[in-house]
Amino acid sequence: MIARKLTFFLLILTLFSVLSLPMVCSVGIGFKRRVEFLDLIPGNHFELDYVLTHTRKTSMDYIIYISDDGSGLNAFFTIDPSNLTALDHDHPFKVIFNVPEDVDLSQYDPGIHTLWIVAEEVLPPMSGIGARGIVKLPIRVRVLYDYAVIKASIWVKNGNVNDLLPVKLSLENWGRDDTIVNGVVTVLDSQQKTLRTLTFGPVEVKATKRNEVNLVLDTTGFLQGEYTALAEIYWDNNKTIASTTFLIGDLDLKIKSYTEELKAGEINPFEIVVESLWNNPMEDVYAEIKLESPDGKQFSTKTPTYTLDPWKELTLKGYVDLTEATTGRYEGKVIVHFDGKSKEKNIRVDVTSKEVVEAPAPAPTVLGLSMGVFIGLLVAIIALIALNVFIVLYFIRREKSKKPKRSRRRK
Amino acid sequence: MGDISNKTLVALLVVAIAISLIGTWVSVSRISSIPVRVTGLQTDTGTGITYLEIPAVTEITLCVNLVNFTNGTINTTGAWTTVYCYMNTTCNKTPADCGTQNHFDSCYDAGAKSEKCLGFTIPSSGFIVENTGNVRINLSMNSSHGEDWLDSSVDDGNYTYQMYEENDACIDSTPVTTWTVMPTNNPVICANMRHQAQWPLNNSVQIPIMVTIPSTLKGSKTDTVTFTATCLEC
Repeated sequence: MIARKLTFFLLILTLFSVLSLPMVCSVGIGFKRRVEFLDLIPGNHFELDYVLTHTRKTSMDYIIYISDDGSGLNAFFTIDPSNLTALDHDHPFKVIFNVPEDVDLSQYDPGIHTLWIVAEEVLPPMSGIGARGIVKLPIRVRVLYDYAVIKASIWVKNGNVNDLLPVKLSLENWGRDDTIVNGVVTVLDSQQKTLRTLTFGPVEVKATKRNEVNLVLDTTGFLQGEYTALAEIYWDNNKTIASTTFLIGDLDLKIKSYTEELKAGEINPFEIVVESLWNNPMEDVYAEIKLESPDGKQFSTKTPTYTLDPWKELTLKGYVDLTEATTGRYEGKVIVHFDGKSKEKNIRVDVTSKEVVEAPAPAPTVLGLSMGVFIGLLVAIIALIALNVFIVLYFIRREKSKKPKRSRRRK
Repeated sequence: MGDISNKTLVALLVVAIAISLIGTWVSVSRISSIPVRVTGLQTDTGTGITYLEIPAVTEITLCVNLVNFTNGTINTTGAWTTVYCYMNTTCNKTPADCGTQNHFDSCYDAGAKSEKCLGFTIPSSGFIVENTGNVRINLSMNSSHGEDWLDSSVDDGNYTYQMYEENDACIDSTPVTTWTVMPTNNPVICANMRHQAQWPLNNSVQIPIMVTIPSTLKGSKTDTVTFTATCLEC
């Protein structure tokens, strides 16, 4: 009877637990290789590997498909498998892009089309308001133009004055016709003044292919600074423009900021932020700090030695001993040494009084002990003394009470 | 052994007291002069770095994917022809663990139902959606029925939501802290949502639900809310 009751109770408890379990579900898509776009070219076949990540605690059904952006390009995709039922683990699937040989390309707008790989949870019947998840990843299809269309980009390496710098042009033909490209690269300074022109071409760029043009820029006579390279590219009576900026360096650095307030009566950290204007690493970079108080007293220090990376900022940190200093506005200079050169900057630093934080009034003590501990110990000592007295008195009384007995025995 | 005289005992007592006092004094002096040291204090922390090749994963987890007010009736006694029952879920500040502990500090906390609602149960939280992948996403939300879900043939019900984020989980959007009509056009409710791989403590949102049921509405009602994650780094 008891066993039956226990079984019933456990059954009810289990049922209650199952009903109380939170439903946790998830959906995801993972991939290892990212493809920038797929070309809509007759006969093109491509297979991409993905993984559907599953619900964590329950098995679920999923469907996977490619969404339509209105172009109809999703018709060139198939998913294998596209339905996954009662899935309780990660499952791989393939996105297969297959363009037939006899495809009519004219019905698609040229350019990049973004479609979506969609994985959806199929929600089981629920009462109340149920929620489900969908995950979408983009997949891009490039539809070529009937005629040659050049997409260009330009890159110029940073360098130092008088360097010969490589200039690279990337020319991509997004059309179905081959073409011949010519062009000119103009180098401008920050005032948009033309300093150099480099011409190139003719360069053949075949349909759907990419070609690279390599040029050399002589920077003799350039000053340190930022420059712009502007490429104008011509083909079949068409023109496109690409541009980029690049840096020309000199063995120099910029002192960007420094500590402007110090405290008298203590040792102060002093920071100087410098920025490299050189396209190579600078070794042995350190700073000297010299300060003079209004009454003519001098203070100085040096920072440790650092390495400064090209075009990067760096904080040089030293310590100034102002324990014997007075307050006031100090004049001085910062001298930053680098690669055998140095750069100075006159500075002004406000030395203010040290903030005196008043210590809280000490708690009253007796013989170095807090009052509470002292009273506690005193009570304990008095108690011990009282105990001692009690013991001694007890023995004295016992001795007294023994004496008459002896006298009686003598009698 | 002969008897000890009273004088001797008194002398011994004085000596004992003196020794006690001196001993106590010395002990106390020594104890107070012992320096206090903290032992076992870690003075440095090292971090071990393991490099792994991790594929990009776009994934959302619905830690709470059911909001069920269960069954109930509406008390129609009163002066009005139609009475309404208002209920909203709890906005749980610290709901149960969903991979990582969620914290919705700005949540309003306890849910509620109006006095006209008889029966029904207030769910312990709204929907909770966590970006459990390793890429940032846009999270959008869609209801299969929208604002007309709880309309009866003669009266309009209401079906609304709020949205709370965990520690600025939505980089490019702000929480929705007023009751807003459940959408059917799939708007982004959390833009540029942080992911678990990099931000395990701020990658979740909670969506409390409020319903207003007119007394003229009968029968069982269900709705499906779809959360869509769109990869921003794919």
